[in-house]
Amino acid sequence: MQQSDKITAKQAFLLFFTLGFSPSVRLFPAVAAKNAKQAGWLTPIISFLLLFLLINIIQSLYKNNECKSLQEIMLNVTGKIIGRFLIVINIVYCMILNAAYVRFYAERLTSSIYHSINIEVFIVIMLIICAFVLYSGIVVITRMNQILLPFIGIMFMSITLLILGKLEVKNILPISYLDIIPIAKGSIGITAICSYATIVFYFGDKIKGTDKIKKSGINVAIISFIFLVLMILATIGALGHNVVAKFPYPFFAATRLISLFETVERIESILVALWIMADFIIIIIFAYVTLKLIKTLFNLSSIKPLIPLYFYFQYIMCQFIAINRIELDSFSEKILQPLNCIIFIGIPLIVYIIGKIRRVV
Amino acid sequence: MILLIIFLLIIIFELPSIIKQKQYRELMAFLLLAVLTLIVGVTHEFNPDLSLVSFFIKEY
Repeated sequence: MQQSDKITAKQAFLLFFTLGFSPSVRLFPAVAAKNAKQAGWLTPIISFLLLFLLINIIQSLYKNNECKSLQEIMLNVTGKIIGRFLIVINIVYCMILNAAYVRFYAERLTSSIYHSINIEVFIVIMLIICAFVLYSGIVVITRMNQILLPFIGIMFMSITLLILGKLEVKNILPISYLDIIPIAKGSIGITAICSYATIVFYFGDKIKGTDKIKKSGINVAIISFIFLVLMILATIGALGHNVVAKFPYPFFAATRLISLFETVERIESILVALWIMADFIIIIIFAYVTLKLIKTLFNLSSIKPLIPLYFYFQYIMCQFIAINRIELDSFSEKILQPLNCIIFIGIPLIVYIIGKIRRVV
Repeated sequence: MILLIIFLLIIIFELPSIIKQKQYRELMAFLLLAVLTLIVGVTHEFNPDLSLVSFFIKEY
């Protein structure tokens, strides 16, 4: 394979950064405030320690398995039967997760700005665009992400800093040792999203320089950590944990507080635009990963014949997944978050342990 | 009805090229995905109040 057909480990982790953006903004402030109250802004600490551990596990798995995808490593380490079983679990879960993200994207638009528009309009437009872009391959998607990411990063940081201006110290203090257990509980949701670091290695065969996974991963993880702590700090600090825990999209609500010199207001539309960009990347990456897993399972030569049918399936699945947003939020909180941790952290950990026992890692 | 037509169109456009190139593994994966799509689609069409969430969470 030519080197131009591949992406670097750094680009792969930048994809991870974008993958985490949309669910972070939707989920983290509310989860942190609900569990850890005023200490919610400290919840990312435990999650990021686990993320560092996950990055180390992935680096170890790639030590003797360069130019292989994670599912190929699974097959090598665990054998064909268990390996294929793990791949099937991943395919089913990625399909459900992809449908959930399509639905989250559409629900967010209809509940935040376009209240009177049919949800299916947004779903169809997004899926058609994703299907067309997916034909171009992962290299194009990664480069697209590299272009979108500075916009997302700069605008998101600007919004967060503007919200920080409304911060009230009484909303984020006091903190004591009694907050340790609530912080640990609140970190489950954040760990679920940090586990997406595994996702990008399902196309590990397209990543060059796998010896730099640890370095690139830790760099991106530190930047993500700073972003995340500031976002939760700003949201809880501006609105208070009681209000944040009850809002469906608290960061969005906090953005509405921003007023620049009493002339520039209602900049939440910028946040919605950032959300759509990040959702586009997350939907397309999950689609690509699912199709790559199917490719490994059936030993296919190409994923292209499956693309139209897969997106058609996603259109139906995203409507079947939940009847309304309340069901969808409940599904995310009670089912998807724990399953994320089990599938994207638990499975690589099991593969790593088996690999160490069999001395193939 | 429109959904069914789109589904048939996807199959009509994709299936001949897969068969022509004798990609039988691709054919198997394609047909499996088509069957899965039909099952989910028909279930959703005939029972719109049923959702995936209701299989996991009893309150729904």
